[in-house]
Amino acid sequence: MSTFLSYAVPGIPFGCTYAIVAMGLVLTYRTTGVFNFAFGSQAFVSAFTYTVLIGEGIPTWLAFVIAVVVLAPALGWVLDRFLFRRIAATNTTAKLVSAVAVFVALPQIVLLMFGSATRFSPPPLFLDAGRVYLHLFSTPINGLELETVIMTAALVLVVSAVLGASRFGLTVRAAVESPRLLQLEGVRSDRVLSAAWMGSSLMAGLAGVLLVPQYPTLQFNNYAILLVAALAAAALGNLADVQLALLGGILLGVVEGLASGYFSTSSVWHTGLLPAIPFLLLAILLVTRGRLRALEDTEDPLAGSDPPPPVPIAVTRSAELDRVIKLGGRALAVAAVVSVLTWVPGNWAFTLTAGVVYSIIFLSITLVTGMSGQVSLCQATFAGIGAFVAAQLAVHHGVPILLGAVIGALGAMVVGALGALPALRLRGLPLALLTLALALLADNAVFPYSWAGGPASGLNVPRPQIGSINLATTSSKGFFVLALLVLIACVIGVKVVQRATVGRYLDALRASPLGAESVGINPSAARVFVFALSAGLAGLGGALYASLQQSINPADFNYQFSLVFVVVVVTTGVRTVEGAIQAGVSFVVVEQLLSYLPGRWGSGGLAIVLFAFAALTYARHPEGVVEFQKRLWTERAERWLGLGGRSDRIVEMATASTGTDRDGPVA
Amino acid sequence: MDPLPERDRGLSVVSVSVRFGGIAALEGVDLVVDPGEIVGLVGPNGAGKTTLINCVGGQLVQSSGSVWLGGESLDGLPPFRRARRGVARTFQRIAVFPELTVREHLFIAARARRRGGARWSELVDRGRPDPDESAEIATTLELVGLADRADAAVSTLPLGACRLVELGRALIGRPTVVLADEPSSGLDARERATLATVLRTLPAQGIGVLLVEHDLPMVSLVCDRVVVLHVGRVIAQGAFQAVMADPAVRRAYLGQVA
Repeated sequence: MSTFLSYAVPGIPFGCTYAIVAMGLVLTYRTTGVFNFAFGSQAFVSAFTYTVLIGEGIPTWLAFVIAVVVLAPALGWVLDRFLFRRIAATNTTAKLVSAVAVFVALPQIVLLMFGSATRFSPPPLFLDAGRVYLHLFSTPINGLELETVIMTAALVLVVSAVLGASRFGLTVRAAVESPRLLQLEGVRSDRVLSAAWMGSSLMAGLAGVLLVPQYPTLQFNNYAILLVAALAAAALGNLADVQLALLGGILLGVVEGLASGYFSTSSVWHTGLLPAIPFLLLAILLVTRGRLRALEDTEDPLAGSDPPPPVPIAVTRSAELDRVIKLGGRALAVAAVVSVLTWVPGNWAFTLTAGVVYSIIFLSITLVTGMSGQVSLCQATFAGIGAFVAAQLAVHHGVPILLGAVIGALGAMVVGALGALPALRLRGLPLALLTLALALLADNAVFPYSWAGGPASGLNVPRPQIGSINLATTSSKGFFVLALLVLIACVIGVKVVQRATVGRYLDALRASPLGAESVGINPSAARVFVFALSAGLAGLGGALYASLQQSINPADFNYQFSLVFVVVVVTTGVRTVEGAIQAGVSFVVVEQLLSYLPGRWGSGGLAIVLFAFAALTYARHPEGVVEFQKRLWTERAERWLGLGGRSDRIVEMATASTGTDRDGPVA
Repeated sequence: MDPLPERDRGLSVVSVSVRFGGIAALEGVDLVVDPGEIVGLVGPNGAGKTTLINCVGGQLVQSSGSVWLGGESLDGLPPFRRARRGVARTFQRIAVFPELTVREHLFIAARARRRGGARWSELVDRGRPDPDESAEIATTLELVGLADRADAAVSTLPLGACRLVELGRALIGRPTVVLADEPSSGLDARERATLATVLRTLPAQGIGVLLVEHDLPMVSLVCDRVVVLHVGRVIAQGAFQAVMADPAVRRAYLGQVA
């Protein structure tokens, strides 16, 4: 019993850190209706500012006030005013992608501003971390642990009080459901939402600063993983119940404490299961809890008054212009290929080859997000599976790398299909969270093994040998041709699927799952198919990436890449094959161009920030920024040239019909 | 219990109950729609009409009771399998695919509802209707009066036309029974006339219709028989005039006045 307690008791303060973030998530979700991925980043921003200020010699209390009381609500106000308010409540994908973009960009902005040097965490707010204040069941409790528990208890009181203020709570819920409808009732719903966001951001900042002393150094990754682990705790309370979230957090901490105590440090359980516990728990809860499945089933009663979404411009532009543009596009592509093969210097040729390989990975997002309308946050994991399978086969079994790439793609395909099975009943946000949990599961419990992700120092991957041509010696240009051929084959494959009957089924399922099932479309089969195919593409791209880089290590395919990939592809256009290729090429070109900048500006963080900012326009242009610009210029060109394309006609029809008839379904 | 003898013909709902928490939305409802029969399902708001349709379509699982079609039980089947067995429906809140054209709606329905399920070739074919499907699509377009707008994206159509698209999507592929959930709401006078005409053509093809409708003149015009639902129970059924004269029905609709 005393052993049990000596393992369980230290788990309580640790569980309290989960509980703090979990309560913040519950509060945010209940007051803003957005499941806020950015919460972890908001917490990090306050924590970072706090640490920097203390490092500058500012007193603790002042640093706390600046970072938590001033900065955090201001950040919340900005996020609401300039981003989330502009997204329709029913547009789940836009809310999700925007939150992911903020999640990815905020830490990079902070690091760009203050530099990415290691920051050592300051001591706790008011207690001495090194001193043992009391013994609980003969387990020593130090100042840090005691303070965490005290602060958690204080937060529970505050949060319960806020949510208990039913009048405010009710107004906020109404503002979340339909700000426009609430406006009609004479309530300034914009102010209500601003207040909710500022409050939630304050909570994030508070959590961030409280958690600073938990880690020896300040790293964003800790906050990101804490967010997902806390989500598992919040999920225990269906993201709605503060008390259950608190209990869930503490329980999770205790279970982890017990597990790390009882499993010997060398056992598979300790290395494999322990780090996976929160993600496994989250995945299981998402799949089994009905209430979590309905997380974002909000319907704005006034959504019927929104104009219909635009169709890709390529569908509507005039035939003449279409021919010119397609011809121009092909000429440009040929010119680019010829340039790479002739005069482009080696480092740029390598960059563009990487762009082609990324395009293959990004095509998998065109399939899963563009065609089936679901956001997957584990595409980099699938790429990793392909890469590691191919690399391990090549290194340890002498399998040619290209054959290994095919086997790796098939392996990723199988994992994708198996992963889709538990996800069948999930859509939108819960599905995205499940994919994120799977990605973190792979990052923490599979890839770190040397039989999977290889040694931490990296795995040396060969370049392909085709007949007597060794692509490693004939510079990277031979590899460029190979990657291009694979990309072309993949593009043809995706286009075939888009055109086939199954493409129409997916269009139908994306638009209205209810309507699609009612005519006999099997949603599960379509889902498994598209996930498997998408995982296969990502796996193939990942294997080629490994061979291109000639060395990979377990961290090369972690969950952060999945998030960045989605942000990048959504920026350029997720609905078309061209969008994926533009994403692949621009991803590497922007990064390469920025690398000429001095110091930390050239470190790659700026590229992520730029893409994230571009992705924020997703709310207004769901077809992607590039696609939107294409529409704009096509319509201008048609006006100048007097071509009068098909787009005019369709726009006229749409405005004529939305005028009077389309005032929503009549009950 | 022994299933009713009628069940081996059309649609038969046998003592279906649905409870949401403590609230009973349906209490032991029995209902039969024979092939070629148009049955009106009427009742005040909240009577459970859409709940009943959802139980037949598979969008909702009943707490007890069973649903039969052509002598086979539909219980436990997901909506898409019921659709392939011959249950077709429209929705009170329309569920169309905005980016697809009217023709594509009908193509998808014709292809997906095909008995025997999906084929591997659907992964790589050209996504176009075969000659049989084309003929059926053309007939259906004429029937619902959308032939001139067949290639317009549905997002560009007014609500009334969307309801007709849903009706056409339900009718294609010769269903055994069509569940029409307030198909006339939001329709203008001409579209209502089209709707009534379309519905009247179905009995000749042996299609049964369960029509949920608030528009009582429409019900009296097209329905062979009317079932009145009130707070989850069937309170009357029979010919339209007789049912509407029933004191219980008048009470349900008008309160205690009558």
